[in-house]
Amino acid sequence: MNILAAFILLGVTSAVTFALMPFLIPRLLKYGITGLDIHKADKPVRAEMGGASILIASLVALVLAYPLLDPLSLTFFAAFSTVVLVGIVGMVDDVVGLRQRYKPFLVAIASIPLVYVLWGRASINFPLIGSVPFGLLYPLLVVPLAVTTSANFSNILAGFNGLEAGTASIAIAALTFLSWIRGQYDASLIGIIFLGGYLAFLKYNWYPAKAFPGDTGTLMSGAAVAAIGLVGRLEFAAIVVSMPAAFDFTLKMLHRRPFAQRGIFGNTTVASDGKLIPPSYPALAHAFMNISAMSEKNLVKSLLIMEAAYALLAIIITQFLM
Amino acid sequence: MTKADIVTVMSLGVVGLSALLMLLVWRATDFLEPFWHGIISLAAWVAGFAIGCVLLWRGVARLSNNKGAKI
Repeated sequence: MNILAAFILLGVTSAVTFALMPFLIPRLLKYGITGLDIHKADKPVRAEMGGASILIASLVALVLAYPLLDPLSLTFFAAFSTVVLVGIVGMVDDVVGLRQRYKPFLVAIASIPLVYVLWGRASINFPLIGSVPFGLLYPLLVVPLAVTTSANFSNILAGFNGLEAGTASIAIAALTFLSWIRGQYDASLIGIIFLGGYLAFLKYNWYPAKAFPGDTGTLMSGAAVAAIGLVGRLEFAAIVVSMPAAFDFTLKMLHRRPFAQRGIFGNTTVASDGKLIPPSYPALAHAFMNISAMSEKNLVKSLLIMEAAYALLAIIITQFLM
Repeated sequence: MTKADIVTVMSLGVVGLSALLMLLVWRATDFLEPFWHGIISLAAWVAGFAIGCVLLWRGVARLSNNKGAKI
């Protein structure tokens, strides 16, 4: 794949996402696929499931840019199918509301195409310790677990304007860059397609948000990170870019009642000066708010700086320690 | 750099120290077969990370007025 084709693909995905959003937002509002923007004083209603525009744009871009690209491999189609299937699971969840216990199971099923193409692979490279052999556990456990964990991680560290699209853009950009310079074109192609979508969607998701990505956008971004990491042999880099979400998940799980915190402590509230007041249960965003009173916009900026730091760390470790 | 970015720096410290723990376990379990050698070292990293998260939350509580729930 040449640089020109990559930029055209990036441009097409972002242009289609950008053009779809003004069409999608009124329809989502009309059909009641909405969510409350709870971190604003007046709690306005906003369109949910904005991630559907990225899903549609990725398919349209692939069809439009197909003549420009080199023949696509089965590995690419399997990884792309996995990300799209996870996006469809998210879409179903946004529309009908799936039970929490079914979501990881359905996301694991969506990873079957990736399991199929990565069947022969058996090890993961780690810095300093080298290759760790997993044998059959790689396709049977590591691949579905990576897709499920990554998708749910990106669904956990969410809920603030611009955070979901921002972290997805930074994480996917870092992995796309790494896969490109290492000659892993299947992985970089997936990255370019979804990077364009999330960058364009960020315009609508940034403070004050006009639309939320919904589970369609969050689950799909996690699946894209996992797919690029697995296909591009960048498993460790994918783990590093997911560290902010891993911190948030671990902090929440370390509490005595990990699944009942919102019921016990409530949500983050907004003071009259626009600063956020966090509930007392442990979470990454609450750690930022506890250490310094901040507005939603500044909180998201701090979290994106953290994501950028881990993206840079992933690039440095992969290039210099592996 | 803002005051809030201390959390990012602390988190990088947690990741670094848990990686160091993993490396120590890796060296100490050199006699095991490759699969268990890797799995035990990765488990050490996960354990170090979880302990680091507790320390991070407590460190934030110490540096701020809002203490938050204990873990």
